[in-house]
Amino acid sequence: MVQKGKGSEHVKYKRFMRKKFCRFCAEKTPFIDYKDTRTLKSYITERGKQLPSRMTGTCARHQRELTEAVKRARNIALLSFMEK
Amino acid sequence: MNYYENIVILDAALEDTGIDAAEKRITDLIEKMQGEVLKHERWGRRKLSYEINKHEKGYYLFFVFKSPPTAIKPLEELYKVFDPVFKFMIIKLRKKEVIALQSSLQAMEAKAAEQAAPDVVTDVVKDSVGEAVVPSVPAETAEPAE
Ligand SMILES: [Zn+2]
Repeated sequence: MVQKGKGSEHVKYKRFMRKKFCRFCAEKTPFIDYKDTRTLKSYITERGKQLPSRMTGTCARHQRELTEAVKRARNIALLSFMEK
Repeated sequence: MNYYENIVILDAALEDTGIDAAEKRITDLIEKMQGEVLKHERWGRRKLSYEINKHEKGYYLFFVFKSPPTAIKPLEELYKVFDPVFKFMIIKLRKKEVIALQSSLQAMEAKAAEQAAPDVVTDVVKDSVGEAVVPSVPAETAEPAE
């Protein structure tokens, strides 16, 4: 027997995920401060590597600014370089 | 005139008098080079995120100053030969950072004026500029080593 109407039961592979958005655009952050390590830390891994924008939703402009801020913070030892 | 932000890391073993002296030497040089120190903060002893020249800790000084670009070279030269300093970073502020700095300086002035003349009601002023003030001390200053 041919079963019909199964289409709706077909599990579409979709992760439970919120829509990503750029936090800095949303909050209208005037600039990303390299001294604000609490914010920077949410954009780097535990090992200290910066997260790609496709994971965080950060827009291209702010991702560049973020990279700059992370570099400055690392330079002055407020953040670590990547750990092995 | 440009606006600069400058972090200096001093030997954490330095006593308070040594820190006073270092701070004075830096501000004196900035002023001698026709600069003006707009802010200076002591973040105190912090654990470094990585070892620098065998130092695991450092005493952080933070300056914001206005000066002609010619002041930077002598300042860097000082840091290179000044023993208590083992790391420094001077950053030229961009337009947006300068704007944020100016509003934070205004807020500081308003606050100082309020303290000098407590009778004057300055609530309106305080509220209008208060939002723009970003605390410049890193959030986890007091946090111990990770
Ligand atoms: Zn953005």
